[in-house]
Amino acid sequence: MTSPRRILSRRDALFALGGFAAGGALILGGTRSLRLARERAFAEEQARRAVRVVRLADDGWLLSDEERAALAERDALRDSDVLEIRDAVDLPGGDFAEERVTSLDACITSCEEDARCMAFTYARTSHPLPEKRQMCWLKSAETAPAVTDTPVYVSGRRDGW
Amino acid sequence: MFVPLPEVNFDRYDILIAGSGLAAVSVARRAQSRGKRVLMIEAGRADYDATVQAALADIRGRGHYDGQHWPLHWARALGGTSLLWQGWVAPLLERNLAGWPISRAELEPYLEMAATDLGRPPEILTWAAPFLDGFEHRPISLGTPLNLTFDTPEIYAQVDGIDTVLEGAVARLNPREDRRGLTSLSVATLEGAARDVPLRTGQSVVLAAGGMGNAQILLSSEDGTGAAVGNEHDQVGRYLMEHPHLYNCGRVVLPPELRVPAAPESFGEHAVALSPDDTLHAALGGLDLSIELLPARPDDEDLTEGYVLSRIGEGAQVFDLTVRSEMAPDPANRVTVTDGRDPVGLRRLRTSCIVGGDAFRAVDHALEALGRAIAAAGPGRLRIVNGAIYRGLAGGGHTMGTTRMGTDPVTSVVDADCRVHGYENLFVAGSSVFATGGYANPTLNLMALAHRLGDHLGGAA
Repeated sequence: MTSPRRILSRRDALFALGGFAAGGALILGGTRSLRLARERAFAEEQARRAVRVVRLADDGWLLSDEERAALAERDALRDSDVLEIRDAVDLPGGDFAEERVTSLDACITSCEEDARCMAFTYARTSHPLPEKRQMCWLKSAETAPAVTDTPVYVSGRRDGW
Repeated sequence: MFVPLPEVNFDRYDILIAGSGLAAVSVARRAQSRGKRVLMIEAGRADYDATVQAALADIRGRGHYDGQHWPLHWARALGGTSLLWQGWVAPLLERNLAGWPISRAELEPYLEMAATDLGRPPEILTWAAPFLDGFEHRPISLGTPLNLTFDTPEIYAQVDGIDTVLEGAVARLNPREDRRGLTSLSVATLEGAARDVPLRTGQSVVLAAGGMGNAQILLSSEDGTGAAVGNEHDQVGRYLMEHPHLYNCGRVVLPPELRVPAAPESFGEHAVALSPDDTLHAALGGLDLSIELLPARPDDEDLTEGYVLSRIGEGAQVFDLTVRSEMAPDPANRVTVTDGRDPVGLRRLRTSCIVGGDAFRAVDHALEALGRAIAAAGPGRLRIVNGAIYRGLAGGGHTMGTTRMGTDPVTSVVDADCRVHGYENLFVAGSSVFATGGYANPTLNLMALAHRLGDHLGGAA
């Protein structure tokens, strides 16, 4: 039995409310995807700017700012006037000298200053084997073919690749 | 020799001692050497018994050191907590006695006696060598611990004039009406049978029942008509202290030429440990600490350590650091009695012991100072392992301060002679009388104080 004074049934009222909700969601969704796109672009821009910034957690070691900077720069790539340097590349063989160095920069300098040095390979501090970390191998031209996609190594050649 | 409780003629002894550990034995032997007859009254059995232990060391606790911690370092058996002792020995330094009514010089001959008892050479009391700016090498003596047992011949069985009764607990002290002394004490068995022991003129009672036990006996000596014995100023149980232990809370890498000066051969087995010099000690707020250097292997996972090592090259020395430190005496850190009694009728204990920010800060500042001193001396560097300090706090099992020594009865329980303020025939031996803890392992020092008390009781009367 229905009350004669009721203008809208309960079902009508629910449909109406549902319609409002759906419409609102569409509008909100549109704005939301626009906002997300803007945020993503901003984050990508930030990431591009931040790519060379090395962040170190406070690990408790009492080091000076200079030492922290040196620590952060140990594996940093740099250009050379006489060597063509490639990241993530290992050059096996041809070693005539090996030494443990404190940075990639020092390894590059060693090779630059040695006329015999036609190529070098440096093992990054991220190398899984502690005995290899920060080793610098100075090489003749007689190396084996380069091994690419090895991010723990950096290599360079004097006469081009 | 051992005397069964029902056969004890208490009247024939000059000194009745509650307990049978290293404090009790030190008082007993010193007083005996001065012609006194001594009875040690041990609540536990001849051998360690887990049931007795659980029944007689039942504590509820809150804070950094809780109701599980204290009973682990309070053995209820013949030999007392000596049964659990690891054998670490270090003397309290002059500066550690700043808040005490006695000086290191007064304690010196007794420290020598205690060192002799423990089989340690006299060098362990005095040797130190400066190392870096602000620090000294103060080694901690290690060696075979003196764990007293039924078979420790020269102590329990064979000394004429020293007797021991087992399975009898000093469960209550009964004060004279004027509270200038005790009239009697009650000795109870694990079955709860109590025997009243009237005290004659010239008889003294010494509490040497452990840092918890001494406070427990006093706080249980209360009949509802007034304060518990010795607690007239609500001081018994307060100033509860431990030595905050921070294991592996730091790491150092030193160049080969930076060597901690070696202790002489005659020092014997030891842990290499650095302490602040007097200037740094004052700067740390008068809280003491000892930084143990444990040889370690390079950590291949730590790239920063790898950086420090690479700058030093061959011969780098790597150490883990463990700190033993001091917490300031705080009246709010305390043991109190709560509802319930143990089988001998002593009140159940409740503790609250929280290490203050000043203690943590002193450790942090000391490690920073050491880091600066190492860096100033060359390419060596130090790492502070923050989490090991603030989330890794442990203790040494050192229960100190519950019947604190001082000149003022309003802020202490015993006087410079270890006599309970006001009571002519009641004394306390053990680390519960420590006014401050320094960083030193308590055993040697509580034995020295006990020897001194034994001398006092032997000469007095």
